[in-house]
Amino acid sequence: MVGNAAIDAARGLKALLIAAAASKLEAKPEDVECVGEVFQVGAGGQSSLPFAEVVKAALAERGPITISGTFTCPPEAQGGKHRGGAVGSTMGFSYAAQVVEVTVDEATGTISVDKVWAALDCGHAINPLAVEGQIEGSIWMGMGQALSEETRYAEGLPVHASLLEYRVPTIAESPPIEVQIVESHDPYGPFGAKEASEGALAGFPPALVNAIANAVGIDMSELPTTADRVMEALVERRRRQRLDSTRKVAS
Amino acid sequence: MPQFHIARPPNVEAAVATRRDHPDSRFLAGGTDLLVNMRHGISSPALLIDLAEIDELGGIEATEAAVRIGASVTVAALPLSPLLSERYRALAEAAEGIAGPGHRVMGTVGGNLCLDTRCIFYNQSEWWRHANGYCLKHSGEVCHVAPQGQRCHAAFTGDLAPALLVLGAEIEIAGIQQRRRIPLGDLYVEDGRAHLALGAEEMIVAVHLPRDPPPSTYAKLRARGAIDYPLAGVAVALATADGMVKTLRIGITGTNSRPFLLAGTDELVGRPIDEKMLQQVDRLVQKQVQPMRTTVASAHYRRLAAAGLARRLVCALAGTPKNRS
Repeated sequence: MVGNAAIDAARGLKALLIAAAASKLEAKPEDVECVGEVFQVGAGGQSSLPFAEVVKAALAERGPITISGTFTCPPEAQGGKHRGGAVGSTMGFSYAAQVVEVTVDEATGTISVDKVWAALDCGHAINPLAVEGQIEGSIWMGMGQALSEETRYAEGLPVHASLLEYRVPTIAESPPIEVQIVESHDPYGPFGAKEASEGALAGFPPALVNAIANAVGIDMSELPTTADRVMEALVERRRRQRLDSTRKVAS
Repeated sequence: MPQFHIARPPNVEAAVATRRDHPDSRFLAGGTDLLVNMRHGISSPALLIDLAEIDELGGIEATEAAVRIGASVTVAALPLSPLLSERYRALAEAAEGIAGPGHRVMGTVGGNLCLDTRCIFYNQSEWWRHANGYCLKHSGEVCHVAPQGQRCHAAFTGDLAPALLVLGAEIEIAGIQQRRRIPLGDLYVEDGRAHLALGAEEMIVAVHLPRDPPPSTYAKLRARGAIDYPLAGVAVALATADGMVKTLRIGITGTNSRPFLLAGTDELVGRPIDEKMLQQVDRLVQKQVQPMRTTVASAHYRRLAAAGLARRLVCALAGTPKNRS
């Protein structure tokens, strides 16, 4: 949505600059062409103006330039009657998949993330490098939610009142991340793009919890999976195993 | 940050005299602990006595009998010493794990040994502590960790102390009248509000280590792999002969108001390092640590984790395969 609104604004800005160039070049706006950073009349280069001059002309004519663009989702994409559907937030939902590999230290409850694979269908990747960086950032954010960030209170006061206690992952926790951009072309999206932000974030916590279950057979039902919570679950698992084995012996 | 003046005495005697003449003053080394507490309004001395220009406090020197580490040697410098990283592994490993690289460049050996104790009810802003009626450690009357108790339970979290304890360190202390030398363990008291047995104008000058210590190692647990203070830290020094324990020392930090040497390890001398012996180590640790709810992580967790670390480090030094709790 923002992308489409931005395109609308950019088109408005371009029209405004072309009008300014036309009046400076004494031509009709429809005859002025914008070629890279030069505005020219027709295909020849006999009368042309560099971008900076055009901007100056536009500023001289109108003062500071502000353009706004808008976009509304087409009705068929505005959601149904379900709760929250009325906001019609977007038409282009991205799809994401994530694999997390962990090592669980059973003596200390410590979890280390060894590697993360993330795939994201972001529509058309306008700037693939930026998409990749965005996905890596999302994984860090998801890792914080899943492993260490939380807000608890003691006697009504926030215990995690500064960035020393609100524990964002550091570079020491950062695993190797392998990013796969799975491109598609979204007919509604700006240039066929969808989104490249939270899709890659939401996958991390469930993938981590499943990896822990796969490693040591405990189901973490609370986030973040701090070492003390993992330890508690491990102790509980051992207790249950002991009970089961004594029952088996008894029966 | 409160206003303060700075004095830069040229030698230890002048530093101690300045401290005596200005009761409202503090010694300043790296400042990584003190300045943070000053910003939190915990401490607001009128005068800081900067020890940076005192040559005697610097340097790592080895003689045939001992190794002397000056109190203002930085944490970052310890693992860079080939002697320390080879023969005093626990110390080098403890230093490498302290806080983040920036802190290690500034923080000093003396500062880390004199680190203030920590608690979730204490290391908070002035506003926060005021809203909570302050606490026993500072300006208040109740310990929020143990409201029925009479003492402060804030935990000591320095990493170097347990390593130096198992390596048999002594510290040299300068006061007004005299210098004295005491075993490092005697520096600490099990009281979060007054955990250092140092006179008001006394300062640590140097750490002395005996030569040829037993092989040693250090590990700690913390919320993240950097920056955070230890929830529990364990140093082990172990010498074996024919698979039997010859010397075993275990130092612990992060769980009590003082770092301490585990009692009862002498009884394990002559024993093979087997599951039974490891269980005994586990029991000794669990019995002697006294973690309280001074961190977000549960006290029970810190107890179990300290024991788990101790077992693991004993195994690592004995060269036996990794033990699964």
